[in-house]
Order: sequence, then structure tokens, then C-alpha cells
Amino acid sequence: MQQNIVRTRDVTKVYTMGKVEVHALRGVDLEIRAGEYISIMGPSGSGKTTLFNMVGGLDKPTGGKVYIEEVDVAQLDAYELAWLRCRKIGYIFQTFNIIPVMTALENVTLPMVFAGLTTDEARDKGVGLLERVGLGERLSHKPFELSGGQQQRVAVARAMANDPSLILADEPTGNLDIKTGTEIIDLLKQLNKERSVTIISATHDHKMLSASDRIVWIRDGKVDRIEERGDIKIEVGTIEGEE
Amino acid sequence: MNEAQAPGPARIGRQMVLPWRKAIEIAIKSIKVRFWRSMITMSSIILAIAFLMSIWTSTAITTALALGPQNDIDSLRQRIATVRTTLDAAQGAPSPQDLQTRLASDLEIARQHAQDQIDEATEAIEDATSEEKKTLETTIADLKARLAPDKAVQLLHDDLTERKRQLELLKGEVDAVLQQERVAGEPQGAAPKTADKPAEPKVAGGAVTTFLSHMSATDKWLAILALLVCFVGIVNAMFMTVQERFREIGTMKCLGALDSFIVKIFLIESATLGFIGTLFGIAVGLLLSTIRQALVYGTPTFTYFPPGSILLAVLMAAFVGLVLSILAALFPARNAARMEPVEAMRIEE
Repeated sequence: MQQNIVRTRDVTKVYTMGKVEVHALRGVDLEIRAGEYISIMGPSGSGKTTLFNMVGGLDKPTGGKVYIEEVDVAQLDAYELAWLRCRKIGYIFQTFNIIPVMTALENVTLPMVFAGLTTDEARDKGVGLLERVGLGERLSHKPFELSGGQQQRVAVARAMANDPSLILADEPTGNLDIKTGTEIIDLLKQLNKERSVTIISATHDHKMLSASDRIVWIRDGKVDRIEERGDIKIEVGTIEGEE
Repeated sequence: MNEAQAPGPARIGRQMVLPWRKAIEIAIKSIKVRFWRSMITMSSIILAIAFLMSIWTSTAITTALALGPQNDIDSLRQRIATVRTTLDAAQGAPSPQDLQTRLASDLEIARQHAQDQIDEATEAIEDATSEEKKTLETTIADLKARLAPDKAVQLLHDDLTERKRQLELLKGEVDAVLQQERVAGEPQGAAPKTADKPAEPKVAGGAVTTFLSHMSATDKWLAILALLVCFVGIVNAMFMTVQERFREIGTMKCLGALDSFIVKIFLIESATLGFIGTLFGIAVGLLLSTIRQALVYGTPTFTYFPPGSILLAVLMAAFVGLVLSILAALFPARNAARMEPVEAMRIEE
């Protein structure tokens, strides 16, 4: 039986903005199997990003539990959390978030520095990763010299830097056009197949649907429904109309 | 790569603390790649410290100039008073007993003077060349001869003449200084005479305590204001440099950077900029201010230059510059590093 790489139990998150309390998550139970490609979908304000932050160890829940590889995230201290983010999880963001003053290679090798690789090891691995994502020619380019799609690829390569078991992608195609977006989704799918890395993405993008093994629909801070890919293919028309 | 086969919780390691060397590497590289941005930050520091230094230097020099000649005159006046008493005593019409006593004491003084000269010459002989030795030996013999009892009157006469001559010299010096004072006139700007009266006129012009206790109220206010402006300038500059990198900080946390590592990076960056900026600021402030004062007051600026006060100002400015740069960057950096990554990244939206 496959292990759950991420498991949440009745996770809630409440934000206090002054006197107002915003219940972003109202009890979410979720199990994500290792090696899956899962998308979390939902309208803005549904709690999609909040849930994403929870399962990615980027934020702490107000209530409930989040387990990453059966380890309760709330029990981890700062050092362990940092280790987790460094070695187990790779992150991809809508705004790419690559460091503007570093070259592509330096961006990709930065997590390796934190993992303790030597400069040479890091360099070799970084070059390999950038070649895998198709940027072998642009190792020493800075972000402003790269297009959006290329920057996101650097981000993908960086996310893979320490061979994580989990990649979290927050709206990876949000700032990209249709063609580039598709390329990125394809790249993620390839990595998912090649390296058995679990991919969790929070997204609006319906192009993600056919790539995903499962889709979790979030509405009003709760899971609305979970669909397998097999189900979607049949109901393509209906989904387009639901948003 | 997947540890899915083993059931039960995964083993979570602990992120190792990266050495300072790595932090320094990243920090220096950060400054280099953001070169012009760093230069702008540093120029804020330079300006702030230069301003501070120039205010404090001007005040120090002005205070010293106002006090210096006064102190010189005061000490001269004291010497005149002492010698005058002696002279008056010598010139008044004494009674025979008084005369006897006074003669005796004056003779004693004269003998002492001659003896002092003998001692001096004796000491000098040790280091003298053979030629000089001859001269010195002659002098010593001569002096010893004069100490003979039958030569007492001659000794006394010579001594009194010498003392009178020195008094005339002193009078000449006093006149010259009074003349100088008239020419230089009252120093412009905040003169201490109007506000605080010097409590200890005998203290030398370069002493630190003089500077601090004899600054006028206006000067003190100006010095404090300069400090406040400097403070705000540096704090603002450093806050901004951290603020614009909040997203970067959040990203680095996602890559596994420890809070302390992020703080270290900012510490090194701000210390480097603060150190170099403060150095330049002090040099520029000191130089410009001294030149300005020299142009206004002329050479007395250097005659009465107060090294003690200036040194104090330099040390204080160095402290302020360095400590402030570091603290002003450290606090926001620490806060950003401690946030959850999402918070840090959200702020920049």
C-alpha cells in the first residue's frame, strides 16, 4: 500500500484582521498519496492557497493537524522545519520568486548550499537540472534576462535541487501565457513520472486538469469534492461551466 | 526519490547551521551584485555621519577658539600677579628689620638659582663633548666662586637684575596677546561668553571636559539635533534595504535557510556598509568642517585645535554610525526572518 505523503486532519485556519476574524479553512481532511499529481482547485477566497500553505509547511494551522510523511508539522522546531523545506519539499510560486541578483545557476544551487553540498557538487548537479528543464544555454543569465516561462523553469529546477519527495506549486502558470503554461505543466508531469516526486499544485488553471491524478475542489474553506482523473475526462463540458 | 516504502513517520533531520564564512560569502556577493543600491544606502550613512561630524567639529573648534586665548591670558595674568607681588615687595620702602629679612630671603633665592645652574651644568657634562666639557667646567667653577660668602652682594645684585629682566619680557608677552585678542575680535556664531561663564578658566583649551561643559546652550541643541537627523537618516536607509527584500527572505526560508542565517547575512551587510560609510563620513565631516573654520578664523584654528574634543567627537560618531547601521538593519531583518515564509512573501504584494 502506498504511504500518504501528506495527510491533514480537520485543519482550520483563522486570520484575525483587526477586529474581524476570517475563517479561511473550516476543517479539511485530506490524504495525498506518494507519487501522486494532485491539484487543489477553487475560486479565489475559497481557502485554496491557505490549504496549500498548510500542506507545504509554509504556515501553521490554527486547529487540526498536518502530517508530512506521518510527521506532525506542528511538533517540529525551527531547525527541523528548515531541514524539511530544504530536503523534502520544493516550492514553485506564481511570481517565480527567484532571486533577482543571482544567475540561474546560482539560484538553482542555493538550496544545495543550504543542504551542505560542496560548490563543485552543487555546480554539477545544478547544470544537470537546468539542462533537464531546457535551460542549458542560460546558466549565467540573470532573471531579468529570462522570459517568464524560463524563470519558472529555473524555479522548477531549483525546486528539484535536493531531490525532494514533494513539490508544491502555487499557481505555477498564473503569470504565464497558454503555451508557456502548458510547457510548465508538461514539465511537472514528466518529473512526476520520471522521479516519482509527488506534486501538489494550487491552481485556477484548467489545463492542469488532464495532468492531475486527482483534483481536490475547495469551496468556502472546506473540501467540496475530490475527483479522479478518470471522472473528469467524461465530464469536461460540465466543468468548464461550473466556474 | 521516495521513501514511501517504509511505514511510520519519516526521520526528520535538523538543518545544520551554516558557518559564518558562508554567510559572509553570500553577504559580500549581495552587496556586489546590488552595487549601486548598496552605494546609495552607504551614501546615506556617509552623509548622516558627515553632517554629525561637521556640526560637532565646528562646535569644538569654535568653543576652543573662544576659550583658548582667554585661558592663555588668564595664565599669563597669574604669572604677572605672582611676579608683581615679588617686585612690589622688593620696591617698597622697608624697615631695617624687613630689609634684613628680605635680603636674607632674596639671597637664599639667588643662591638657589646659582645652585640650580650648577646642577644643570653638572648633568649636562655627562652628555657633553670634550670641548663643551671644558666650557661647562669653567661655568661651574665660576658659579661656585660666586657662591662664596664674600661675593654675596654681587650674587644678589645679579639675581635681582635677571629677575627684573624677565618681568619686562613677561609684560611684553602680555601686551602682545592683548593685542592679538583685539585683532581677532569676538568669534562669530554661538559665543560661549553670552550664555555660560567659564567655571574653570585655568583648564587648558584642549581638555575634553572643557568642550562639553563650555558649549553654549545653542551648541548643545545643535549637536543633539545633528544626532537625531543622523539617526533618522541611517535608520530609514537600512529599514528600506530590508523591506525591499522581504520576498527574498521568505523565499530563502522556503529553501531551508535558518532564521539566524538570514539575520547573519543582513548583519554582515549592514556592518560592512556601516563601517565603510562611517569611516568616510567622519573623514569628510572633519575635513570640511576644519577647512571651513580655518577659512573663517584663520590660523588660530590650528593653534587652538582641540585634539581631545575632536577625538571624542570621532569616537562618538564612529560608535553612532556603526551601531546604528547594524541595529537599524538587524531589527527588521530579524522580524522578517522570524515570520512564516508566506507572511514575508505576502507583505511585498
